[in-house]
Amino acid sequence: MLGPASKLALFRPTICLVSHMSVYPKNYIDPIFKKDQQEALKTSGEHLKIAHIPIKAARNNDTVSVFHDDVISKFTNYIMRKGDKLLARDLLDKSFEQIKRVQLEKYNTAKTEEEKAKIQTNPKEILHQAIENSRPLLQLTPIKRGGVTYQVPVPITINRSNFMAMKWIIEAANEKERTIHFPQKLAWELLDAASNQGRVVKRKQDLHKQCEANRAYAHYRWS
Amino acid sequence: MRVPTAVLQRNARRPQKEDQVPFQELLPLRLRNHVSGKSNRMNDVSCLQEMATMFACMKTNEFSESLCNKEISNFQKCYKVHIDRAFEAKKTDNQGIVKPGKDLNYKQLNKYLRNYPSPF
Amino acid sequence: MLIRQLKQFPRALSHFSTVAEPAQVKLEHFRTNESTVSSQGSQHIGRFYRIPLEERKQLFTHGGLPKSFEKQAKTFGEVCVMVREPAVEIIDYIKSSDLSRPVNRFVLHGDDGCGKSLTLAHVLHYGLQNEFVLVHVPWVPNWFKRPKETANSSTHEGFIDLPFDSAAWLIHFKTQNANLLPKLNLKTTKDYVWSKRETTPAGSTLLELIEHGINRVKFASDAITALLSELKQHSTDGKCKVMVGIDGYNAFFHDKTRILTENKAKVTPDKVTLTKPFLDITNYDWTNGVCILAVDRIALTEERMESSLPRYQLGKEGFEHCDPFIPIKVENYSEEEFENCIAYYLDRRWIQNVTEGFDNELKHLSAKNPYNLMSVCAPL
Repeated sequence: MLGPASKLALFRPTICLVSHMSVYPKNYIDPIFKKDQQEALKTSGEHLKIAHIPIKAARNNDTVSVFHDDVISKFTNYIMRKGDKLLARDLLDKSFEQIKRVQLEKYNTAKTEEEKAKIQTNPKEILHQAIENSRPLLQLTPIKRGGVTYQVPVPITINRSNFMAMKWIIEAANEKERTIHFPQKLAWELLDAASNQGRVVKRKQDLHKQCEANRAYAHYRWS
Repeated sequence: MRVPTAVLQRNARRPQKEDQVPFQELLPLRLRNHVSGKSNRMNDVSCLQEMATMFACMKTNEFSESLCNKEISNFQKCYKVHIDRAFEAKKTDNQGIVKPGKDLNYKQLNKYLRNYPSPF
Repeated sequence: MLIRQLKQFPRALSHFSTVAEPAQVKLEHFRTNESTVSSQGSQHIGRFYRIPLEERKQLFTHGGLPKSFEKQAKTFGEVCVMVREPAVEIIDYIKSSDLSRPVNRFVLHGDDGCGKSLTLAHVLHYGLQNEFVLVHVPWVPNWFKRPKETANSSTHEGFIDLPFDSAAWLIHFKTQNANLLPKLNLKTTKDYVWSKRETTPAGSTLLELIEHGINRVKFASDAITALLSELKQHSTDGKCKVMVGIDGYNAFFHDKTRILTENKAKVTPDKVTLTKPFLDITNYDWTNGVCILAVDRIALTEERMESSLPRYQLGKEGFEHCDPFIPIKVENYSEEEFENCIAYYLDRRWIQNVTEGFDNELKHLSAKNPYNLMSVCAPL
């Protein structure tokens, strides 16, 4: 017995069941908005290849400003709540200012040149270092086997670990007294994490310890 | 010793009588023309060896990563290779080219089954 | 471009410097060693000079430098002020003016963050070094917008006293003129009767008058009135010269304050006892003095912020009170000043993320406004 529906099914083309969420079709490419990258394309002749490919519109934080930094822009987005990017940017800028003030005062009071050379006063570098220091290597995933949920250590990608590091830093900065402002606390957390101490680094190590304790379940993993 | 309850209660597990409870075909009594992709989900436990050596190193050095750089980079490299390989494999799978052989993935199977549907 | 200059500069200097002057070797092109304000001239414009710690303490312990500048000075570990056109101009005028004539009034005006307060601070530094008695009000709106305490005046019916603010100002006056007052040894010319038991007899020193105001906070406002009229008298007699520097001067002519009376009615500035003596001392009826008055948009309230020009800011009454005056406009940085400021910030590590063309971008972001530049550079 072969119903009309199943007959039709024979000739149905294969359809991708995962819906494509972007407003752009898949053949659109990301915009290249940085001047040096554009120059690099021009010198290598790559730009001729993409000359006729449709390009997505640049996002509003894609800027040619010499002060633009991808990590900072990402971090701003993670700080942002309810789409208030102006506030998020302001908060991060203020905490950079705080970091600079703290470090510059240390720098100015340092006596010898060697001591001065050791003090990192660049807030951008400090942010990068802090994220680098608080990136976890693994995470615990609950996996149900035989009615029991095991916390299984699973390796994670670099993107995921970057995200977790930034999230932890922001969460740590949010845990504060009401009288202390977010930028101030964020500055402290960043400085701590950059010197490989503080709550965020501790949290990472705790996670690693837990993973180590649960290493016996590692073979339950799947993906 | 455990005694099966059926022995003790005579009428409890008797089969239904056909005339009283007529048979209903709730699901068609034949095999479907496709298989689900669920069981095909790859069980990809990889890099266990690397993870173990990394844990050993971390434990001896009190979880300071700077002392286990080699082990950590080995582990991450292994995972990266694994992910890349899985990605490539998925790409070829999705193309669904049917090859003769034993280990067919669900897409290939479905394509194959479509050619030989249930006869009724 | 700037970085290159910076890198080359010490080398270039070392060619010309002699061994005998080690302090000169390290001096960058954006700095000047001239901390004697009177010898600064147009050749120093755009350079930073350092205010010595002692003089800074004496001048600005109780206010006088903008808050954000104070913060900056703490971070940089030094107080450096750029020698700029308006200050040099005023000092030039003061030097060449005949003090025996009625006082000259200079009105500083300009947009927000252009450096009016710092220009005033610079001129005050000149006053300190040249033995002027300084009558300096750091920020007038502090009295009218957020007074510490208010009380009904006992001597003037229907007037409001600001006892704590007045006492604080007397302390400020005392520290600023700590060296000068004992030297001049000015005496009061008449008796001041505060109450039945308290009087300051004629012939006692001004310091005693001030001390009395500080110790008996209730009479601080009246002490200020007495002190300023005495100062006016003495300077007209030629015993001393007085420099009056008032920041946010236009607040005296605003139509309202935030001070409330007992019936919760808002008080106008002319009903505050402090207003009269300071308006008196900025009048032209005395000699041997100089007045520098800064008018500021922020000194007024939101509905009076359209223009920063003196006529609008002072209003008709205030304009006529000051007339005739010399208007001094404080402008944004010039090209050279901007470059020097960037070089200074680089030297102090206030700007650290430096890539090709950053100074150009900063120029456009800040529109060369000093305050904007400082805040734009803050997260860099």
